[in-house]
Amino acid sequence: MNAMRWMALALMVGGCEEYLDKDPSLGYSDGEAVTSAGVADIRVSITGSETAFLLTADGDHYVAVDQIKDPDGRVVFHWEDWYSASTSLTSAVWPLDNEMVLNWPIRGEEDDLYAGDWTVTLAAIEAGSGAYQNGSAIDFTVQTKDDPSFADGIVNVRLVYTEGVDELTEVTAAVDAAIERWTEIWAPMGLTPVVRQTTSTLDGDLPYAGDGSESIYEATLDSFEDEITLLFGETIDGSSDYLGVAGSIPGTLTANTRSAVVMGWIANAGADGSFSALDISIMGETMAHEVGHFMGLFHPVEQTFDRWDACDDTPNCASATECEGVLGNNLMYPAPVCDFTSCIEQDQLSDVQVEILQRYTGAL
Amino acid sequence: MMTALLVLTGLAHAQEPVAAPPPPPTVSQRALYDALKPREDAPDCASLGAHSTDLAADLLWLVDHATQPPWVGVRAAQCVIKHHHTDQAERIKTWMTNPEQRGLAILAMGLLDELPKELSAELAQVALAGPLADDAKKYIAVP
Repeated sequence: MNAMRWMALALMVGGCEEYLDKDPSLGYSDGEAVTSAGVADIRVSITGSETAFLLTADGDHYVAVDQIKDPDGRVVFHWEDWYSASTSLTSAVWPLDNEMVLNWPIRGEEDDLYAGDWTVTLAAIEAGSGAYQNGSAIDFTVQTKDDPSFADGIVNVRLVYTEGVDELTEVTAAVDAAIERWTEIWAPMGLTPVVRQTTSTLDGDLPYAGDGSESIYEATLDSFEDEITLLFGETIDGSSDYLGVAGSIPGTLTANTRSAVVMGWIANAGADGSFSALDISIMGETMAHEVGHFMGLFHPVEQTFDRWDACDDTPNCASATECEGVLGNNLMYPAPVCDFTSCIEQDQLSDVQVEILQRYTGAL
Repeated sequence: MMTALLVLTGLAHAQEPVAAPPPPPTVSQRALYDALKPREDAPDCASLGAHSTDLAADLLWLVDHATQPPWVGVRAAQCVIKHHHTDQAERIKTWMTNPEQRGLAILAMGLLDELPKELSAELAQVALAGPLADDAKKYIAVP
């Protein structure tokens, strides 16, 4: 179901007319396609002023992007270029689940959108065998943005506290301060997070967003169509192992089972259970890091040091020592660089990483 | 008079106890720290054994000395609670009543149902009777 339309209905019933005055900031269309020869073409009509689109699919089988053609029929993205590459551009290329999210364009080196029909070919793939599936239905939504400048923008975020966490004043104060840190980190990149905080009756133990969950779907239904949903609870997947998890890279602005970033406060507060200034600073970096994933950023190097992002201005380093030296202050580095009692600030992004954030359809 | 006050103030300052610096980490402790540090993809506890011949002791060293990033101590404590609770029961019990380790107490409270019944009941009792009773009432499911 489209979150925006559901929201409008709910608000009309609830009598909150003021929210109905919020103009939709994104274009929207939806439909259903059925695969033939294992694939289905999704037409994305661009009238001229749109600068990016976000395609969200939900199929009978696993769904992955096969290729993208511009209105002149040129293939501008092909799965074979990225599926087995050691650099990652979008998770949409891998058949990981029935749900798939693609934002286009991704980097500055991809051509800007222009008027005409863009064609995104999606493949329906059987889990396990990897065989293409015929006659497989794929529901899809397309959101578009008219963003006159990729040099600046705001990102609307709805932060949802799980039940009772909003009453923990030390936690909410730390969250407020962490949002300030996040805002400070993004400022040089021309981005501003605009965070709307809400409460909920969600259980404090949040699901692992990457695995998908009906509770994430339901929680996201209450978000506006241009908001990234950030669920803030106590633990994730019954564990304090996780500080924060993004549903997918990129994530969607419409409701699906992965349409959120989740964070838990206990792991972020540490052994003493209270937030020091450094804890808060690192939590702000974690917020910016996880939302960065949701907006399309991969780690510049993975923890195994044999996979990298597709940004040509983040070095392809190959060991912990080398990578901490050249990427340790990068916001998307997979681990903080610390010496047991203090950590360096991780607040830098490369130009291409900023291009990716600015092209995300939720960056307005 | 002013000179005397300054001298006395200086002496008082000099006599304040200075916290001893933490002992330097061993190779094993450093390796465990690096393994527990990433923001995502925390290693499972079983895999940590490859880094240490005395895993419980090294994890407890991290609990006590690795304050940043904040989740390292929490992750280390979680492995102690889940996999070394029999040998470390007394240590875990101290967390349940120490306000300066409230995060570990809340962590342990959430893991009680994964522990042997007798130990779980003992830890719950200690927590409910101690200075972290408010947290215990919230996080421990009292039958």
